[in-house]
Amino acid sequence: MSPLAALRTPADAGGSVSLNLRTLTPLYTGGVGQYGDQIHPAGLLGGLRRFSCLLAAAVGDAHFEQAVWGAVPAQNNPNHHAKQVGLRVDASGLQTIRPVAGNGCINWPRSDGVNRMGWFYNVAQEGQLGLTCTRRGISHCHWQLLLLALRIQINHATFGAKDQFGLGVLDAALPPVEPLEPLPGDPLPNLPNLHNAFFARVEFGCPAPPAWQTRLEQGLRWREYLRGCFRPGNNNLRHYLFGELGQYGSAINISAVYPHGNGCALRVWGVLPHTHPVPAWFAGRRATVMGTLRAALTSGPAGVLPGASPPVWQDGAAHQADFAHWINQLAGVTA
Amino acid sequence: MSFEILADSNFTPRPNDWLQQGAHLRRTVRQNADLTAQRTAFLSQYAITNAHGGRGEAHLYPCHSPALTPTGLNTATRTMAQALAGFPRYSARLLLTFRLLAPLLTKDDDPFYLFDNPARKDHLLGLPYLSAASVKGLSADAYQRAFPNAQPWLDLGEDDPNRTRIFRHADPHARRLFGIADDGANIESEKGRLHFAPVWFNKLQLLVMNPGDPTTAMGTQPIQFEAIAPGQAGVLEVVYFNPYGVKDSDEATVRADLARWLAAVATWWPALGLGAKRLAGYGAIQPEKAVLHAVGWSGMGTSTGPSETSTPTIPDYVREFQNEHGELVPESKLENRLALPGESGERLKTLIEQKEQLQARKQELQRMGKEANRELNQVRNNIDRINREKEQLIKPLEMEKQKLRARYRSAQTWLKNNTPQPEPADTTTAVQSQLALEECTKTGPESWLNLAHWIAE
Repeated sequence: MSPLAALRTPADAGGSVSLNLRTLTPLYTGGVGQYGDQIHPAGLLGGLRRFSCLLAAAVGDAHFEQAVWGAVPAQNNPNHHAKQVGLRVDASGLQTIRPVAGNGCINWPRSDGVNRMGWFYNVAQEGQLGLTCTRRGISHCHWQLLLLALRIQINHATFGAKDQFGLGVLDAALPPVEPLEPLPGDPLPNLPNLHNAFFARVEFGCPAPPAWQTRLEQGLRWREYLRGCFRPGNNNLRHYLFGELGQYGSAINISAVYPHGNGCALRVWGVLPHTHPVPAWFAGRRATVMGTLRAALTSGPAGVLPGASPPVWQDGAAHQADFAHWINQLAGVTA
Repeated sequence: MSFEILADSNFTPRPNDWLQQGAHLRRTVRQNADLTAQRTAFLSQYAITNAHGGRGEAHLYPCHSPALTPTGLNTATRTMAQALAGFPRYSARLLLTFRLLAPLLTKDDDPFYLFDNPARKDHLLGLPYLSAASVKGLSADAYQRAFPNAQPWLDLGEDDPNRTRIFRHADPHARRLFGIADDGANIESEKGRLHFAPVWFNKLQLLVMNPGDPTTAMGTQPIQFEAIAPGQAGVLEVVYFNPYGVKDSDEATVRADLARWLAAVATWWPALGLGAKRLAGYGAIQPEKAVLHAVGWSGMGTSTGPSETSTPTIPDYVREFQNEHGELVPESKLENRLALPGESGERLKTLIEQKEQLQARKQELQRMGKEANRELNQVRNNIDRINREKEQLIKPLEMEKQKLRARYRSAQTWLKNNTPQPEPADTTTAVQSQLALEECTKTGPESWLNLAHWIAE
C-alpha cells in the first residue's frame, strides 16, 4: 500500500471552499499609510467575521463567534482557542489602481453652499482575488452558516474598508450550501443581526460609465442625497446612520455604480442599529428611518444616471415570520 | 540589536537604516506618550513612501547582507555535495521553494523594540527569518492533520505534550521524522531524523491592524506589526539523516517517511499558511519548486526526466584544490590563485613600481647626506602614501586568502577522512562516501505534492 494512501486533505477533513472573487468596484483594505497599495487579510477577515456573526446572532446562535472565529486568552474565558476556520487570500490576480479617481479626490459644490473637502480615494485594487476558507474544527451547522453568510455578502453586501463610500462590491461563483432550516430560537438580544438588515439595489438601463471616477461619483451623489434626507437637524441620527469622524462608523453603505446585467446598478445596505449597545435615543426610530430611505431611493437625486427603476428592496424587519426563507432567498439557495 | 544601541549613548544610526533608526528613536522614550510620537515619526520617515500627513504607500525595507552566501547562514544555498557529502546511505535533502502571497508574521522577543510586534530577525545581521523551530512545529501540525490518529486529537491525552507523545508513539513515521521529546515526563526521548533550517528573507514592512469598537462601529487604537513583506520567495531546507544500519533505515522506510512529511506540508501549508495569525490569512504561500537530493536512492536515474542531474560525492570545496589526478595541489601554489582584478590590479602594479623607484631614490638621497634631507622627507612621505593605498587595495585580497586557506584546510581534512578504502565485506557500514548523490526537481504550484507522490512510488 502506498504510504500516502491515508493522506487526508483539507477537503477530506471537512471542507474547503475556494472562491475566485472579481471586483465590481475597487477593493480597499487600508494600510500603514492609509493607502490601499496591497490587500491586508485582516481587512477582509474583519468583514467576513462581522457579517457571519450578524447571521449567527439572527438565528440565536450564541456560540458561533467563539467556535468559528476563536477567542483570545482571558481570565474570564478559559476555553479560548484559535480560529477554527483558516482564511487564505491570494491577491496576485489584482492590479493596483492609482489614483482611483481623478487626483485622488471627488468633489462638487454643495447645493447649500457649505464648503466640503470631498471624498478621498488614493490607491485601491481591481481584478481577481482568490479567497479560500478551510474548515478546521467547526460543526457542520456552523460551517453552513458561514457559507450562507458568505453567499449573502457576495450577493447583496460589500467587503473591505471604505465600502460606505462605494468600494468593495465583489462577485463570484457561489459555494454550494444547504438551505437554512426554520429557526429553533429567537435572535440574540441586544446584538446587531440580520433581522435588522436591509438590502436595496437600484438598477439603471444604461451601461456603467467607463471611468471609476464617474462610477464612484454616481454612488456618492446617491449617498449625499440619502444623507440629506435626514437634514435639517437630526445631527445625532444622521451621524449614526452615515457615520461621523470620531463619533460613529457608518451603518449604511452605498456602493459605486457597477455593471449589472445589460445595464448597471448600485447597492445600498446596512444594519440598523449597528452598534452594541444601541443608543437610547435611537429606540423606536428604525421604522421611520427605513421608510425615509425607501422613499428616497424610489425618487432619487438629481444629477445621476437616468432610467433608475424602482429599488429592489429587502428589509429583514418585514420577514420576521419567514426569516429562514428570506435568508435562503438572499443567499440564492431558494427562489 | 536594540539593546546594544540603547546602551550606547554615542551611537549614530546609518541614514535610511530601518532597524538602527528604529532602535535609536526607541532610545529617547521614557513614557507611553513618547512612544506613540516616536512610532508616528518612524512610520512617516521610514515605513511610508513619500508620506504626506502620515499617508502614503507602504515602504518595503530591504535588509541587504553579504551573509547570504553559500558558506553563510543560508544553508539552503549549499550545493548538494556540500550538504550531503559523507551522509549515510539513503539520507536525503529537500529544498522547497515557495512564494509569500501575504505578509508573514514571525514574532520576535525584543522588549526594547520601537514596535510591540517585531518580526524575528538574526541578532547580529538584522536579517528576517522564519525559525527552524517554527518550521518544525508547523510541519508537525500539518502532519497531524494529514495523517491523523484514529482517535480525535483532544482525546489522545490531557495536554498537548502528552497528545504529541501518544500520537508519535502510535505512528512510526512521525516518531522517526520528529522524534519524541520527554518534556520533563521522565521517559526516554528520541531524536528525530528530520533536520530543519531557518527560511531567510530580506524585505520587511509595517502593517497596521485596527480592532473595531462595537459601541461606535469605529476603529480603536491601531496596532503596528512588523512583517516579512509578501512577494518574496523563500527556500526551506530539510535534511533527513538516515542512521543506516540500524532498524528501519532501509530505502523503502526513508522514502515512505519523507513522502508522508512532504505530502503533509504540500497539502496543508498552502491551505493554512505559515507563521503567526496564519488562520487570518497571513503567511499564505504558493509552492513553486521542490528539489530532492538523495544519497544512493534507486530509480533516480531513469524516473525523473530531464531535470535530474548527477554529481560525484566529492564536495566543491575539495574539487577546487584537486589536480587532474585527484591529488591536492601544494599549499605554496595557493597564492598564485588570487590576483586583484581589472583596474585595481593595474593600480597595484603601478604602486609597486612607483614604490621600487622611490626606494631606490631614497637610498641615493640617504647617501648624499644632510643637504638632501628635504627631498628625503618628501620621498618618505610618498612611500607612506603608497603603502596606505596598497593596504587599502590588498585588504580584501587578504580576506580572500584567509578564506582560501580555510577551504584548503577543510579539503585536506575531508580527503583525509574520505580516502577511498576497499569495499568492506559488511555492507551495513553506516558512512559510505562512494554513494552517488542524485537530484530530482519538480516545478509549479503542485510540485511539492508531485514530488511526494514520486518519492512514494
